[in-house]
Amino acid sequence: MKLNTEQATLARDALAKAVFSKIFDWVVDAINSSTRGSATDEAKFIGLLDVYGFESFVHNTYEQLCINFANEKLQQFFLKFIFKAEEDLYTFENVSWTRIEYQDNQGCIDLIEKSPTGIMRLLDETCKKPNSSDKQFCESVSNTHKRNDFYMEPRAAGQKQYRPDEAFVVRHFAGDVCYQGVMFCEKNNDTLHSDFSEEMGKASQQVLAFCTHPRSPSFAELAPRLTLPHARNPGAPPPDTGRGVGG
Amino acid sequence: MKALPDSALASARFVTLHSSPLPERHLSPSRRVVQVLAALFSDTAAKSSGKKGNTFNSVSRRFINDLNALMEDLNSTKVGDTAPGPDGAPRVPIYTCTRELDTLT
Repeated sequence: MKLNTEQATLARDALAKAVFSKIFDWVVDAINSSTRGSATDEAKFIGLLDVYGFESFVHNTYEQLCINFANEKLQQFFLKFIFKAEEDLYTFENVSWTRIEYQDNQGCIDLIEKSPTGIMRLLDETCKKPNSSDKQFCESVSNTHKRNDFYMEPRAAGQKQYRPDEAFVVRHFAGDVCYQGVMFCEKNNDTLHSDFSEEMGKASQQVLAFCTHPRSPSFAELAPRLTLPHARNPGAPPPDTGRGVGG
Repeated sequence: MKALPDSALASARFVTLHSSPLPERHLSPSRRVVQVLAALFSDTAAKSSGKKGNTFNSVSRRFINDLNALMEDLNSTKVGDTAPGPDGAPRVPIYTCTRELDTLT
């Protein structure tokens, strides 16, 4: 596999992200397995949802779009939960009430996520094309959503330094945010070359080598007690299937 | 006797589980030396075996899938506040961090 400098850098970063992701999932599975005891999947649990707040900076990019999209989804959940719970309570207690109309942000969620024309989908389509660019992505967003109520071109939002092929504005529930298209395609591409996967599958890295790293003493103490993922330990309890709620 | 909220019951169980010793097989010395990375990538390597080259892997797609899974969890979960005891402190003395205690009370 011959790569130029830029391709090698991207491949290296993809490998680092893959290793981090695999180890993170393994640690979570191992902790869940060791704290579950004899509990079944039907056991009660506590979920801690640590949510990043809405972000709007001078320069906003792919990370801000992901964060603000998550907040749109949680805002929708909050609205439905609060209003639905109150309405159910009033109905249960036979209290007369007037329906409250609230601003629905489903349109903004659709703008970002809905297939096949949501911003995230357009980003994927752009990334799949050979020699794709951030400029092509922004143009695609502009051409597709110029009449969408939750989309604005940068100039219309007072961001006169940007052209529609350089940035786009999303009208979130918490405010308008101008996203610069730079690096969107690169950040969205998490491709790991098959050669790397195969070589990592042959790795002989021992858990103690990184568990005993001096900067992670608590993990070093914990790790020898943990087991490998379920696939390597037929006698171990099945892995947690996502009952915990994290953020 | 007034029933404890679900969260308090779950908390009490968590303490019990947390203090329980791990089964012997978890502590076996042979388990201490394991090929972690090889195991972690074994499924990926098996899938890619025989296939050469790159297949586009979207961060956005994974983010959306993870987020929608979280929303499904939230929608199927009883969400409520942690009720403090009569003296303003949690009934189960787990929370020792001052900031968390302030939040809960």
